[in-house]
Amino acid sequence: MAIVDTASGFRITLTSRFRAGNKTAIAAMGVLVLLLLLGLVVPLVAGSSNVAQQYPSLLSPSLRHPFGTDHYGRDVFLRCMAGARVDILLGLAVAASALVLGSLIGSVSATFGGATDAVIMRLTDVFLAFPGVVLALVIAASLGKDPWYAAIAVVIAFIPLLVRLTRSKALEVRAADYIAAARLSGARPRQIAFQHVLPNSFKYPFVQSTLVASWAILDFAALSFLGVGVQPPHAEWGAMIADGVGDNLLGAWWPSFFPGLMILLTAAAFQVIGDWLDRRLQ
Amino acid sequence: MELVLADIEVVYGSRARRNHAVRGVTLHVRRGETLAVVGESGSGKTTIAKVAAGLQRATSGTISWRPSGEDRAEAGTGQRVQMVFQHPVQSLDPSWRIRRSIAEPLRHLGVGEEEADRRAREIVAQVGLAEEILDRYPRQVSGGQAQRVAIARAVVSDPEVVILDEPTASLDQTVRGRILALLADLQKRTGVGYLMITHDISSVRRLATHIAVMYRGLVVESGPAAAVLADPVHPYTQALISAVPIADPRVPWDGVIDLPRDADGFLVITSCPVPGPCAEHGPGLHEIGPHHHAACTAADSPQKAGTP
Repeated sequence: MAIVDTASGFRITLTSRFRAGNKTAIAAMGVLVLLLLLGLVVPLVAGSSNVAQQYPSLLSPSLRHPFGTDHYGRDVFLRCMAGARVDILLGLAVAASALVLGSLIGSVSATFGGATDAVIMRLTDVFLAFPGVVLALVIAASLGKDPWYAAIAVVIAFIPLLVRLTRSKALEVRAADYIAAARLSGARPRQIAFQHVLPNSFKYPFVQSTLVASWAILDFAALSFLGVGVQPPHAEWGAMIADGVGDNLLGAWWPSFFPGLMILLTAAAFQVIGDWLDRRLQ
Repeated sequence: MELVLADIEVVYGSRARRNHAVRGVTLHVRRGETLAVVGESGSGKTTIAKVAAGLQRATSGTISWRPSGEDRAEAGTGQRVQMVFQHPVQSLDPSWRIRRSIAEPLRHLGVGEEEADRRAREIVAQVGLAEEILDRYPRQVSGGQAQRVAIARAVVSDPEVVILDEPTASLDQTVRGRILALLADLQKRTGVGYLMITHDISSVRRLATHIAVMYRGLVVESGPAAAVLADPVHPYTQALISAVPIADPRVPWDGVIDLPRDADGFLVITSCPVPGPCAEHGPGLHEIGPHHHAACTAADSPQKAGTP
């Protein structure tokens, strides 16, 4: 542990753990940015070759095919990169949508209270009674086989979590002494809501949304694995694992291993960033 | 101006299970004076503070301002009531720098940014803090510093009355004395009136000019601080004052206050010579000395309540 005196005389306590956390978070951001860039650039350069069945099937990883080929003779690396664009952008989109809608509904629930709060909370309880992925599967299956429907299903599955979190934090903040002090200082309800309650209660669902991004990728992969997400021949990590499971029996581990590794890396990166944001915003 | 709380009642709960937190309490807080409301937890003192601040509605009673001899020509320009809370760090917005928190009351009064900043710098100097503290966040200051910041925010808009809700309860002993000295100094300079909520009799001795003792939502004794502390009449006041350890090595003290309590956790008044008649609502306050009132039927008798 070190204590640093800044020019203003203010002492900052730095712990080795905090510095290590910063480095890990930077590495996690680097992984995400790299995967996203590759996901955007590689398919542009390679065109539609990630869906083209142009190589011998089940070639093991080599310099020419770093992740090998699948049983349809498609390059697994190219498909992983195409899947990166879909999964990372989808994870971010789901997290952002669930954050905005969940925070909005949670804030309305906390602000209005009474019957509005009771109705919203009971509906939330109903949704939370089901495991997220099962709920998303039911919604996606009832909407139809389309990646957009799967994405909507995952958003709906995560909204109740963020509604609950936003509501509980908003209620906690509203009861805080600094809100009473603001009222005594002459702040109007709208000023209290936007200058005190929102900034102090929003950071918790914001941190949670980074974790939602990682869970959304896992759920979306699960939906694709079960056949209600991205449809063949388009690349998506969950669907690629589903495709490659049978190849394991033939001793070809790479068609399912590399998309699994991509999911692991991306989900872990979002989790690390979430932990880092949590520490920073505390 | 004088803040007058008249016949305040606060009732919680439904009709079937009503809980009278405050029962017919009347208090006067004058400029330049400190009224200390003392009593144990649950006596209704924090509720009365919230009602006085306008943070809670009274079930009945009135809150008004009455002209007094100490009025200033510019009275009424700022927020009339401000509050200093028990937990200073929690009373400051964690996402705001201290500069912004102190200037907030001024901004809501329409004071410009530059002027608000100048007054914020001026007030932190008055409460004994360095100007650098303005750029810190609440988590970056100590409890004592945070309480000074909270006091600065409370007085920056020049209020008539500041409510001090257990202002030293969360501070260590060495800081307490300095905060009380600061409050006394600010009162001397600005003439602000304090409504101090506390169960700390030693703070009362240092700051209070008047005392109101609350027991189960009622004021059972009130009067000038010197008279109430030197000659407490109501058995409850006597019990409260006797529970304070005496800083004298010759007086034995084992550090344990073991007074009997009822099922609700309230102190049981065992020393009352006429138990029974005031069990429910009490006999009401009546004058027993100059400005000294007590709700005790035995107070007028030749043998005062609680005296052997």
